[in-house]
Amino acid sequence: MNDQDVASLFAERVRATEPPWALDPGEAVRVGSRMRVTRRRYVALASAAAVVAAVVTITPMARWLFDGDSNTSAPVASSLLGAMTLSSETAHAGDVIELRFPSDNERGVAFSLSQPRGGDWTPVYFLVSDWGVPDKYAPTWWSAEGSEDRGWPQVLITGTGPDRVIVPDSAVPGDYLLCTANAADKECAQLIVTR
Amino acid sequence: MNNDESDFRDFFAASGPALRRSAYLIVHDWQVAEDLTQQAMAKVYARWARIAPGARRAYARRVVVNESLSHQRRHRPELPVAEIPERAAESSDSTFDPEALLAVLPAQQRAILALRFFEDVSVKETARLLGVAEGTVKSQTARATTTLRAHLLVEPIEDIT
Repeated sequence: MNDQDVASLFAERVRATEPPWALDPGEAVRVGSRMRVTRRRYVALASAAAVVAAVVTITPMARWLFDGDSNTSAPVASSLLGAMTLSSETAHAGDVIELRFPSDNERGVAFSLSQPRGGDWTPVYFLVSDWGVPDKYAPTWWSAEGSEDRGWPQVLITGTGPDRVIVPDSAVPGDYLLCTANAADKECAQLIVTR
Repeated sequence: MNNDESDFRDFFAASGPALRRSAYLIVHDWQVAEDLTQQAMAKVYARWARIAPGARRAYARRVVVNESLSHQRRHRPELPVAEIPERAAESSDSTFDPEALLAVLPAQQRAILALRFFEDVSVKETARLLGVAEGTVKSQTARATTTLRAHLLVEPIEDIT
């Protein structure tokens, strides 16, 4: 008798002692649903913390990525560009722009909008898209400054989009870098805000 | 009831008993196994929409095994047992006590038994799930089945080669 036979015999004996199956799927659904809500809250808080951390770490990264120390736009690492495209590379404050992605792209609903400052790209706004469902969700934004208590919902968006974001009303004209803020692979696109 | 919930209920009914059995092998207590399975299923439902349909069983299996081993670590620290408590001479179907036998096996061997022989998981996947080497899975399987064989009074076949 080989190991498999021994195990089968044991399994047979175990099954003979097994009580009737009486577990309730409804209870799992109720508890699981509560877990989803709790997880979203924790993720929103964690995301806000991650944003703060990102702001702190982006400075040395940007020094490495970008050349020059002026306030004008500088070259962006090519690996960050190309996957995300904008419906328009120029926009006014308050405009809604559409973002499109490759069909296999996975991302969240959060984006950062950075400006060149002292040679670095510094996030000045965080944007939350319409989740690709304009009838249900409206895009929103907030300033990076004082955003510690803000967070975005943890949502996985897949596919080409379009995801719509709004250019903040208070965005001053100039060069910006729009990037995914909650995606495994960071994607960016350059945007010029005009008067 | 939405589609997700309906799918989950079907999955619960189809996979639940086997998952409870795996949990039982690790914690050797049906009531605890039931609680752990219910808890694990809630976790599975919490992530249901994000798990590919083909990966649901593997995901649930992983959650059940992790929950059971964690429970075991928290509540029943493993103590080495020098010998099998009962020889199988007295053992028969009517007196068979799987809990006594399982108590002799270390938790890792019980988890390996559950995965390899109750869930029909490969050596490679078992090793990945438990975070051990494939060789460890093989050697622990051999030890566990030796113990089972002794308890079940099944003599090993002699190697005549």
